[in-house]
Amino acid sequence: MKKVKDKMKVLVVDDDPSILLPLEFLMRKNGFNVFIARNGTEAIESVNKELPQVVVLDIMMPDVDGYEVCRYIRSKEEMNGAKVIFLSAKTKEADIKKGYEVGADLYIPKPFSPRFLMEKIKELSAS
Amino acid sequence: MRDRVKGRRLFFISALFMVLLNFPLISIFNNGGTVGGVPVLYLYIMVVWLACIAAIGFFINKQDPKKGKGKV
Amino acid sequence: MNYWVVIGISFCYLALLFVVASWAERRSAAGRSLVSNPYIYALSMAVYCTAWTYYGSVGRAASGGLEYLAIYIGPTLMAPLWWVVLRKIIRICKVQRITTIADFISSRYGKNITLGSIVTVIFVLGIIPYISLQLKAITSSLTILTGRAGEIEAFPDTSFFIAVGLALFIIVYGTRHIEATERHEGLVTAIAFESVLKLVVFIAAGLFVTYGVFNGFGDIMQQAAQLPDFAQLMTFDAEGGYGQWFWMVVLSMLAILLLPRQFQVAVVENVNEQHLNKAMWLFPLYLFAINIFVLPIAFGGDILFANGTVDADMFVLAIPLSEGKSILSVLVYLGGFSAATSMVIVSVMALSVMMSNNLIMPVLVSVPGIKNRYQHKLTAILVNSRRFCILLVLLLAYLYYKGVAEYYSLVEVGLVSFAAAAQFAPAVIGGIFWKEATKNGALAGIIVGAILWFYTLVVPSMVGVGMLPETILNNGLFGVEWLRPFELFGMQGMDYISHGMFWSMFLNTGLYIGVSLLSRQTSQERNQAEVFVDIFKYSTVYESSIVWKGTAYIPDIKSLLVSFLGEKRAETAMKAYQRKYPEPADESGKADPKLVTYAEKLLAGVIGSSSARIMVSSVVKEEEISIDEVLNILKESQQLISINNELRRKSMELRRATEQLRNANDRLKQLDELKDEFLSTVTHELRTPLTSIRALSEILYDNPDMERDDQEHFLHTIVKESERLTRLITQVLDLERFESGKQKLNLAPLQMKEVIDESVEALIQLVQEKHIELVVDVQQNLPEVNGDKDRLIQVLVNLISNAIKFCNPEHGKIIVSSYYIDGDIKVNVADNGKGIEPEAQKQIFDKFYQARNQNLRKPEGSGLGLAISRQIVESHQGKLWVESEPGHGAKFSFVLPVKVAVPAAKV
Repeated sequence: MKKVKDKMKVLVVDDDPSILLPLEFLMRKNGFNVFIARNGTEAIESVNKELPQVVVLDIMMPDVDGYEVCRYIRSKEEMNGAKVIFLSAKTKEADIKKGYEVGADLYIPKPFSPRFLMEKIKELSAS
Repeated sequence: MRDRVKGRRLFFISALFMVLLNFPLISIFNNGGTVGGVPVLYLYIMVVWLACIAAIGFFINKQDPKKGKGKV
Repeated sequence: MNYWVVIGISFCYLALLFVVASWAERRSAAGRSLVSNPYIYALSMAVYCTAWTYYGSVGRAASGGLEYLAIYIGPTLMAPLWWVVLRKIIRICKVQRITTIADFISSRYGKNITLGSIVTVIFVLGIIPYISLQLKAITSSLTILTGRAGEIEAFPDTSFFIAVGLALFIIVYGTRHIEATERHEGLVTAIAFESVLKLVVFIAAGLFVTYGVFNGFGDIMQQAAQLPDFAQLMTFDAEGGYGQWFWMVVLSMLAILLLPRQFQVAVVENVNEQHLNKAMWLFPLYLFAINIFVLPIAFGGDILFANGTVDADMFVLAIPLSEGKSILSVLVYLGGFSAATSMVIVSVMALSVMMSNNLIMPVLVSVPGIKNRYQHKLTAILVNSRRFCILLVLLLAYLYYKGVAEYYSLVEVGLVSFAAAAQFAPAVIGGIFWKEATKNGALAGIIVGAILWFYTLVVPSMVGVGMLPETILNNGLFGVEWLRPFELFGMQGMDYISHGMFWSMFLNTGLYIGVSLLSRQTSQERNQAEVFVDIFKYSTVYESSIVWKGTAYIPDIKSLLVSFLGEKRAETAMKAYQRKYPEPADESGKADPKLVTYAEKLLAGVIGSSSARIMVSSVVKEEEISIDEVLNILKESQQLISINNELRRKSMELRRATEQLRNANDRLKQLDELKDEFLSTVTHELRTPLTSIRALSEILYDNPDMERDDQEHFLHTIVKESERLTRLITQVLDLERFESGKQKLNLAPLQMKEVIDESVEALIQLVQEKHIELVVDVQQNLPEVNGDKDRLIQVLVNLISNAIKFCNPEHGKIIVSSYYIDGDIKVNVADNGKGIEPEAQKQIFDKFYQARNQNLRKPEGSGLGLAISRQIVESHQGKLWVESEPGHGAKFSFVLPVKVAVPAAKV
């Protein structure tokens, strides 16, 4: 019981199942408590319900986009200290800049290396 | 150049109606007959006259389609 | 009706004219001119319709039948020629600041003073009877209205006071500006107002007679048919009727162009040449309108006053009066009064300027004693001489009325005036089209024409009042038989107007042409001839198109301007000149020839062109120039003009080319942006499967000890994503090939049914999995189409898979149908999904529409399918579109033409 409680909560948000698949596997393998959201609305619901410590966020999604979700997280007091990592196919400088502006801790362009992603998550959650 | 074309067209109207409103064409209607009580010759002259005015108006408007009242 | 009441009303009406005129002048001073509008222009031309029209037409119709119409048919036939003739005259007068027709003629023939004064004298002789006729009409209508017919008034009678009132009006509003080229806005507005009044009242009277007194037009005609002379009135006399009709038409055609009052309103008061466009049909329409009720009134009068106690000229007034309609009668009287006064006002003003410019000023300026002594009072002298002329003309008209006009009908006197004006037709019309016409030709034609006019048309009227013995008419002058005024040289079979017109016009034109061919022009004459005939070439560079050689000093020119224009106007004029020709003035103070021409032009606007010529030549030393020199210099200046035009055209072309380049550049930029956007979307779309493949493979590599199930799942996804990647790349390449036209189609005759069946086959499993109801309905025996089978299958598969994606998730239904229509084979794929918003219906065919509009994005599909499908259909010369009502599904349709002769592929 205690062990489950200690597990870090990670929310993974992406609208493409073929990307959710490796992400979910990775998080589980590294011992996180992983939650999945397939669009912005689900993501916000999940944030409210689970208060995850780390959110891995896609940007281009139906309904609410990743930037909006990030803004929401940053506006939420209970989410203070949560880490947000953008994982996006948008690789233009302007998009990356905007990502940091809305409050991301890290912006990783797709395609990404799972190893690199995990390293970063660990780094961020340790700080 | 457009003025010249316009001038020629209007000249044509003038010449055409000059012929329509003179001898010998006019003699066709000079028979003293009446249409519904109205003398034929009178009727002919009035109708052709009105047609002439309409023709002038038509040709002028055809010439400057883009000119509205704003121009004047 | 009480005499004094009517007199009171008449003078109230004159006062109203003053009010209208001063209101218009105030408006114009405030910059809200009424006159710069084509309707006022056309209405002011209706000054043509005088008391002659208002009263005389009815009289003429009652006694002479239909021939009265000729006077209005003529101007109608002339109106279309205005664009060629009148527009040219207007331009010439504006450029040279010509203010009267006498000035116009004298300017054309070398600013000859003799010619100008002869023309003026003839006009005065010809027009004064016409003016007196208007006074007569006013008086007769007055006596009828007040029931004083038959009483003889002692001097000073009513008409005298009316003449004085009109003189006052003309002096106040006609000599307002020293420059006659300035427009008389108040006066023109008053004339337009009078034109409206006379038309409205005449039509009202006509309606009253036709529908109030009689039972409509038919009733009058029926009753009139009983009149003994009805048949004769309603036909032309086969003997001379046609000839008379023809000559009247010609006469009035010339009159509308040449009468001084028409010249005044149509040329001098013209604000904008484009106003002719409206006037050309509005003015004839006015004439038509005012003539509609002439015949009913004439016959009505004939029927009502069968005993002949009423003068037919006064029917229009007599009928309402006899019916006891006093208000209508007063209005009709005022309408006639307005018709008469408008003619008097404009004619007197035009004649006064003509007389002052051509008879008085030349004498004043050429007598050195007068000129030097009154140097500083010249403007006052000028205005006063015009005022004097106004009074003189009206006095002469009054005397003529008292002496002669009382015995003649309105139309007879009017026609004689028309014939006088017609004598200037050869000189004016020839002058603007024929460069070789000379002053001597014009002079000979005009003098002989005028003599004949006088002898055949005026002398008989003098005999009529007993000023000359009757033997002249019967036995000819001095008893010479072939000099009988009505049968000159024994010519018979014409009425007197046609006869007089024929002889005077024949000899006038003949001499004009003949003498012109035999005589020579002076260099100045030649110069003016060139400028007149080619005015549209010279009008912008007038100052350099007058060739002048000699020595003139700027101070002399300036002081000349000051003495006629006043200090202030002269200053403004000099400034305007410097703006137009900004070359530095000569060191020695010598004036440029252009300045001399400019000054002369300004003076011409004030004192007339011949007087201006005299004034200018008195202060400068001129040298003789030969005609050859004039022609050479003109040719050079013309070349200069054409070079200028060429330059202007070139620079316009250049501007247009620049514009085109800029547009092309903008388009390229736009295309570039589109391309950029396309590329970034493509890369984005490529990244998604790539991301999946990369992540999964790396995890597989890092975790060799993964569970078997997971491994398989991963590998399966990798394969699927690789396929997605391949598909995307193929599609992008496809699209690129279609768009650049490199795609070739393997065309072969094929059955649409096969295409549909194969496409459905490929998707049937998916359909079944999703429990979708699929209906295929293909018409039997469809004709074959020429097409690329694989490509068409690609289109259909795309459309059907879209339908599968978007149809109703619970009770999905798709209908694929195909039939022949209008030479095409049409294929529809309809679903029962939520449909497509109207604004999206076009965009869905754009590349990656889904990607950019994420609400629609679905896991499968590249977003290129519809774009490619459309390209494929279009390369088959077909069309692909969608019809959808949101909430009721979408129907994608395409048509392919059955007969495609040429290969459809763009190569």
